[in-house]
Amino acid sequence: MKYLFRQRFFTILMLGFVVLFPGLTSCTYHHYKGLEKSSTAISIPDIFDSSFQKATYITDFEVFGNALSGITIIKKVIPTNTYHVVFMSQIGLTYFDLEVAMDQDTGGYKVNYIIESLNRDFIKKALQTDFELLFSKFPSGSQKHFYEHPEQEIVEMLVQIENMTASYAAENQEIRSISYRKGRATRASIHISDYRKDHPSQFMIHNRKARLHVSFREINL
Amino acid sequence: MKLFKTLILISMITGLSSFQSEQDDFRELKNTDGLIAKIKAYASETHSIKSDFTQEKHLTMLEEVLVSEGHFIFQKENSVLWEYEKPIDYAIIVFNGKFTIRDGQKIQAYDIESNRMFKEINHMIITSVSGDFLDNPDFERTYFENESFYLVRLSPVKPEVNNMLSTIEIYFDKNNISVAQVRFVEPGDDFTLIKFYNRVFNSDIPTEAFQIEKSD
Repeated sequence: MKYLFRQRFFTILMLGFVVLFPGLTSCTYHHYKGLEKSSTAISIPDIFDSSFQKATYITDFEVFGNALSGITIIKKVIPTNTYHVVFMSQIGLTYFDLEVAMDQDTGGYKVNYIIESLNRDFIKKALQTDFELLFSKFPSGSQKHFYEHPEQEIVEMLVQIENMTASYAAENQEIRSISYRKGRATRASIHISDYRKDHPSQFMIHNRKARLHVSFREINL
Repeated sequence: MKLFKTLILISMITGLSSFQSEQDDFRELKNTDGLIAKIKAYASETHSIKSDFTQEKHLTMLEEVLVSEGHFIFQKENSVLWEYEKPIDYAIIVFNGKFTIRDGQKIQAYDIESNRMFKEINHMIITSVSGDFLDNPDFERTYFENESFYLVRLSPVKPEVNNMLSTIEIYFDKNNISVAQVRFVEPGDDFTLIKFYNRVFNSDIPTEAFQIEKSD
């Protein structure tokens, strides 16, 4: 009797798996409803346009419930082919200073300085993930899939990076949100709420794994 | 607009070169007893300070200097208001063991003792503006002078501070032995220079000065 019950349970489980598995794998997460797969590559705008030089942001930084506030400067450095990011307190103390290569294939990521209280591997790893995502860095040979809305100017690009997927959603030629997922679990996301000419003027970064939330609001110094 | 930018650039270069010349002609003091006695008197006789300030942030990554302006109030023993008016509205208040930040309409209060970084920043601000560092074992001191200033260079001993700052330089006005400017130098040679002006010493400071309110 026990054996029969086990066999039936196993059969039901297998059947469930056979029915559910294709559904799970074919069901791709999208930022917007109604997107359809495009057979041709779609041009996705850069978040920081090639004409971008530098921007200064009021920044609220929260990690594991600890809050810091200050000013972030993002500057494109042509000689080193990097984006230089410095986050500092209002009274001028640097919290971190890092450089993200513009080209993932040749570049890399460098922490020039990080204050002792933030000098933790999980924070540094989260910052790397988030800023590489922001500056759209992924290997040039990455597999890409494109989706578009049949009626509206909404497009999405999915980039496969090893076992992770980066998703870039753009609306009216401006990137609105980016997410970085393993399977269906979002590890990090960026939401851009406002643009100014060639760069985002207001955006937020959430890194779920590190419980890191950072908001940026541009100011003119 | 171009003229405006050129003027800013010229004033920055002039500012930098005058600061550089201020830096260059300092010589180390051999006999420090007289200066130490004067600083001790300044620290013990100063009960309150009100002052305006300009803050210059010099980053090696930027050609421009980031300039902020504001005013500050210090009341012995540990009350500080550090308020920025330009280019952004932002204030730090240290009062009754609380570290409060007002960022525009947002106000957040922290317990100083519960946050090591706030505690060190608070300690650093008070140490710098009050001149109360002579008996402080957390810093090694060297003394210099030039025509206008006495310079005391503090090198933090505690790892949690020297990770943030390689030196704190306190410039005392030779005329009245009061703190005229402070320079916080970071490990990567970026630095923040704070210059004080319109200083008023030992005036009565009402406690309301440290009660934070949302700005309009």
